[in-house]
Amino acid sequence: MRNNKNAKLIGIALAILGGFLIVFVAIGMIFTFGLKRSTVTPEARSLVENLGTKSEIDVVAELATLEQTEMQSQTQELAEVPSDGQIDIAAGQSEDQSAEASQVQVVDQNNEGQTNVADTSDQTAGQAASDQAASQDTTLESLIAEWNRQLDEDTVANLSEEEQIAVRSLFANTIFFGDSMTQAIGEYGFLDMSNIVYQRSATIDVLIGKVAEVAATFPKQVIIFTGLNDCNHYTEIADYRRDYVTMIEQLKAAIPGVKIVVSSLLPPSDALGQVRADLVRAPLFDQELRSICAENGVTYVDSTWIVRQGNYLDDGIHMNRTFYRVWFRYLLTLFGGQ
Amino acid sequence: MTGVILLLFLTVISLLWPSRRFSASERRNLSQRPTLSYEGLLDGSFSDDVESYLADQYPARDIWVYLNSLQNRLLGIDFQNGIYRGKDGYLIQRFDTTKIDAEKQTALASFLERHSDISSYLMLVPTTSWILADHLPTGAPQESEKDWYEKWLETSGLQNQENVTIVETAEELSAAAKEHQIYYRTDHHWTTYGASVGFEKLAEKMNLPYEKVDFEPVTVHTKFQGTMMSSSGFYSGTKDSIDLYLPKEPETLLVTNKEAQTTATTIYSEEGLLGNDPYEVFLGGNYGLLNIKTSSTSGRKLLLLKDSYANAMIGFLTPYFSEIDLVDPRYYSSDLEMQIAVGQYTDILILYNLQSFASDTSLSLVLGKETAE
Repeated sequence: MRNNKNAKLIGIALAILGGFLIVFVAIGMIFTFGLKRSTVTPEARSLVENLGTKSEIDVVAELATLEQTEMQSQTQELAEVPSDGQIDIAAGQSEDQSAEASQVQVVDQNNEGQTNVADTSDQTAGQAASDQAASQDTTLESLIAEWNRQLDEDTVANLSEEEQIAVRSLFANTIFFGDSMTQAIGEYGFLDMSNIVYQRSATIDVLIGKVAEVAATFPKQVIIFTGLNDCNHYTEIADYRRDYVTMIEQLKAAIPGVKIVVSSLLPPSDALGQVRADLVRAPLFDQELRSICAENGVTYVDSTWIVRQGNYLDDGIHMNRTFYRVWFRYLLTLFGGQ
Repeated sequence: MTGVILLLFLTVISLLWPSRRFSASERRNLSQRPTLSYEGLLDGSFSDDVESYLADQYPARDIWVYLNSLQNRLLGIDFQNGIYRGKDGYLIQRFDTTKIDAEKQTALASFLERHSDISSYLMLVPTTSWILADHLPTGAPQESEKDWYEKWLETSGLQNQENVTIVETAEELSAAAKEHQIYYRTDHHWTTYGASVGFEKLAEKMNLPYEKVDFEPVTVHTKFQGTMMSSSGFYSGTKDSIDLYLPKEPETLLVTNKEAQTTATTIYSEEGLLGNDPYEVFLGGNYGLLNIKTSSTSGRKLLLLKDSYANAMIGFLTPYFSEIDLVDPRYYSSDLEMQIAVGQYTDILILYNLQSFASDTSLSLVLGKETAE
């Protein structure tokens, strides 16, 4: 009798407890996992969504037009200022540079007759680019002669602060695109990685897959600099040409109005060339690259003259900082003259 | 007897209770079940992991957090994790700083001196602990944000620097707070209305042709509960609205996240609005370097060094600047000197709320960095 009563009480207690626990678990589950219901009305959501529906391409085009109109009104204001200070590029080309210089469509804004035989003994390109007044006597020819002398004597100086600023200003809206040759630009600190899209060991067919990434920030200019991976990868140069043209076409399609510049495919070091028969074909690829560029309205910049055996890294493929210093001075002079 | 059953029951339940990765109300990732390893046992990290795992994955954790805050409320406790439960549903972060950071003052002064050719503006926005001090629980002790600010400014010497304009908004915000909501109740940010009050003062100092009527507010969120609620555990029933002030004159924007290499054509983020922290509707969060190109023909280019307070104000700036670079020093990894040399800025604005400015340690690092190839 007594046992029965106790059992009944325990039963009731257990039932109450059990009920409580079940409710507890249920509420707990709802709290833990059920709270994600949206607190934003569909109207608000679509409102915010609609703020960003303009396509990036349209916006880039619109802003570019705006900028152009502004530039025009500014140049009109500046029209009366004499252009003595401009660096002369076209007028000073030597015979062996003229082939690429004709493709480097640099407009000579200066009066050709003004070109002087320059005394460049103490001048660097950076000063030329950033301090135009001081360099009005400088020609590309004499600059290259000076750089060649510095390369031969191994006295190439670091980029000065003015030159670094000039590089970053000039290429603020440029993406450098390529393999480890391009990666080095960032690694050496000439530019931030935000100006660089690269994939190590990439061949052109792989780089085609990175075009979207290049286009993501709508650069005004793309400078392509690749190394020897292709010489190893493509047995037929025709395949190299096919992929390269595809890449150029895709870049142009993805970035309206983009200017594409290609820097030479550099040969391997002499030492590496002796043991790697495939890489010796590099000049053939480079020759092909020139004609690809010429046929596709792309600017080709010959940078093979900067190569010195002493400036290869141990692998015989990549270049040290010295190469890039001269390379950047050259690019600054080619593209930064106005 | 029941106690024992309850204990056993909870133990069993906690073992069976599914693990959760993320707590939406606390806005943090929760500890996951630790893996047993010999090294872990030896150095004691395993038992630490177990402890935090059990604490984080406790069954119905959110209920307990709520019950705890309810208990605090019943007991009359209104201070948790540096936050006061103030009047009218306002959670107020206590101002704790007494130290004047001379290093930051020097870094800032010499930075602005170095760039004396650029018009610079320093705008340190008071927070609730100053403007809504009358909402604090009666007798709640705290350091005075106002005193700290005045002392900081005086000792910094920035007022006397020629190219530097100090933009003070305390009076305007205090006046506005009587009529409108200028801070969120459960979040430490200012409302977009609050930002508009601040901007009006800034526009005056910067000579921007700002007219209130050029912007139209739209409400995009009506149930906003912010991060202060989660960090204090003071669950407040009051929910706030988030408004955007859109310019009536349509504008064209290209927003580039320089580090992630992504672009957008608006400064507002749908993803942010729907995410765990709806305040991220502004810019989608905080990033090291954002570049905004606008359709403004003003020709002015702004460098904005900022914390998250600025995010709600960007919408007011875009019509008046051709280009804006937003630098959040906490996440910025580039070289600021180089960026300024390249950027050709006409204006520099340093915009922080006073609490984050007082405790910030990243700004002076970014300002003082030196360059090299």
